[in-house]
Amino acid sequence: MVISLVITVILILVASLGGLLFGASYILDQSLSDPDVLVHPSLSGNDIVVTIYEGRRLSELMQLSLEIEGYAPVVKDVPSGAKEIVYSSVAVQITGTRNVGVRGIFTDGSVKLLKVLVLKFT
Amino acid sequence: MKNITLSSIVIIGILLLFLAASGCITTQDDPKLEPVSEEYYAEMDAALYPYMQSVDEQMKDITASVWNAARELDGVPKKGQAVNLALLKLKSEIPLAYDVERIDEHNILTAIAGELNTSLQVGDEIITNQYTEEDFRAAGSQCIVSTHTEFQTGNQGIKVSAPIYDAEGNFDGTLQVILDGTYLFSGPAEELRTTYGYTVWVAQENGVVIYDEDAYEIGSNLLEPNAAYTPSFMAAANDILENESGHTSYIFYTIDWHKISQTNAVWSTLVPGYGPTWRVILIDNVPPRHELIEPSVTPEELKAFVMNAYVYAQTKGKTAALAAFNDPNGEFIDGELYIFAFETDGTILGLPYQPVLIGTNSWFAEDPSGVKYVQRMIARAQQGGGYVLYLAPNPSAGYSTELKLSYVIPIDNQWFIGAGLYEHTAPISHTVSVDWQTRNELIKQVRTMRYLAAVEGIPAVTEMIMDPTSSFQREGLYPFAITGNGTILAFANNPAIVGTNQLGTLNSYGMSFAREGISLGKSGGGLMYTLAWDSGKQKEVFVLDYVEPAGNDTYFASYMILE
Repeated sequence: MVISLVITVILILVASLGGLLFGASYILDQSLSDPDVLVHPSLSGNDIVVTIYEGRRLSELMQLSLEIEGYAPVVKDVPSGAKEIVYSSVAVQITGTRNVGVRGIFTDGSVKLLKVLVLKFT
Repeated sequence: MKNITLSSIVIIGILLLFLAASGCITTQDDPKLEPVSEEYYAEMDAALYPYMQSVDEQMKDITASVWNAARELDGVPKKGQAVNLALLKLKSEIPLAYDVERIDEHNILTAIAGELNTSLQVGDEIITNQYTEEDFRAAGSQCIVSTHTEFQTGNQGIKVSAPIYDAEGNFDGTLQVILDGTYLFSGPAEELRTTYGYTVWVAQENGVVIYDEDAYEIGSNLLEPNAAYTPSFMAAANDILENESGHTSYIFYTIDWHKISQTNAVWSTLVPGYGPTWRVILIDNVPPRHELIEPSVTPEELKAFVMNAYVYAQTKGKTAALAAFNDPNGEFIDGELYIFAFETDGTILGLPYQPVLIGTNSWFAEDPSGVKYVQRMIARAQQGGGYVLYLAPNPSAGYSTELKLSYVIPIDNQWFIGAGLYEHTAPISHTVSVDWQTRNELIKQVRTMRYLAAVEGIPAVTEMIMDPTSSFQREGLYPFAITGNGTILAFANNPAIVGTNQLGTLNSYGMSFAREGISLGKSGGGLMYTLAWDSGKQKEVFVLDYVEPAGNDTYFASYMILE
């Protein structure tokens, strides 16, 4: 229990570090051209919906980290078989155009950038 | 080898000549023309008259506004606040205006009230429609009305120009207004179709087509060879260009280009100002209306169809995906559904049923109400994807204009895909058109608010929006003001939401009217459709919105209900 908590905290820190780096200079993973899991973020009012499509490591996907340029990452669990993850109210007050990234956190502890897209919030 | 090839060409040529002489190759010109009664033509003339009158009245109002504004600018320095306000005021009086420009005697732009994203900057040379003092002397007290032109901004249309003189009475440049030439004709044409069952096309006296329901015909020249022109059409076209009015019949393709039939036409001539005259041709080649039918595809099925294509594009790559999407017999054709693809600059990448358009740019494409629907699709794709509404000709319903609901999704930041379905039972299908006069009033209202804000300040205008007796209020229009962060500043139709943030409010298609409207305003303003909550009817209604930036991160907008 404690070990799993520590792993989760570490994963969140890794994702957070990625998020902080995100706004300044986003270094694209090679995995983007062949992502382990195909995901897509879209704006829906004040929410961002990440749709989960398919991928060879879909069954290993444990969490998704949504990273909006200039904001702290938000990590959410991915229930087994989930088709979409809704990040409620993450876009409240966000306007203009920003980079949005989605990282996957897998059961083996690896973190992979799955999608980067420029979203126009207004 | 070269001799053999040459001989082959000569032999083939002789064979073709022989076949042509024997009548085996002819331009398709069947069936034969049937006689038409004078009474029938008289009925068509009776429908043409009010149409001509309404276009003529629009042009008279426009040219009078331009001329009067030019007189108010006589003796006024070429740039400065006085000119800027005069241009804004003139733009508010002309809903068809894209840009209003003050140009000096050397054709340099000194002030502009235009779209924010226009490529034109003060100091640029205006290279289209350069008029001299002599031109205006010849025009006398009339505005010069240009030929159909593609302007530096990329918009196509007609330019109306008037001279400006300095305090000493010397020629000091011009006032020029770029008009949406298509909507000048298409607005009343929709009424013509609804009321009489006719449509129109318009050509300049030099043969250049300046309006046609088929937008791709605009800019073509009747006097130039065209494989689609039948002999009887060419004869009719010559007759039309040589005579100011008359009636004729010709054999031409039906609007779906699938077969040819007899088209009967009457025409008359309109003099819009100093410049080429316009032949306005009313025709009876209009597909019959069809009954409203229930959509065979739901919005959810449409979205699933596009998402399937999204996965294909992401896994197979752009080249393979476009090849699959453009295959008219491929797996991405499903009944009325097909996948279209665009670059985010408007370049068409995929249209399986119109391959000739691939590679062309459709950034400025407008629907019959003037909604720049490709720009709306791009804006929606840049939100990560979603539904978009616009009017489009329905191929399975005789190309009648119907509300189309499309779902778009970006593949990456460079291109996006989508598909659409016709909302056959929607309130603004082919049985109900967007009233063009109300649509023009809508634009005038918002532009007036923008002008007043420049004169009296934004707070004064937001107070006026809340006041039902203020000068710009119109029955059936619902003005409001919103900040760039989504807070409603004024909205008389629903005062309860004033002061609230609306970025998160969604309609049943998942659209945020606040985010869409602000995005449109930031890109310079324009028209868009959405579903909006009508507090009076307690239900969602289809609306046509018009938005303009007012400055200081504030946007003015208004809408008309399309039911």
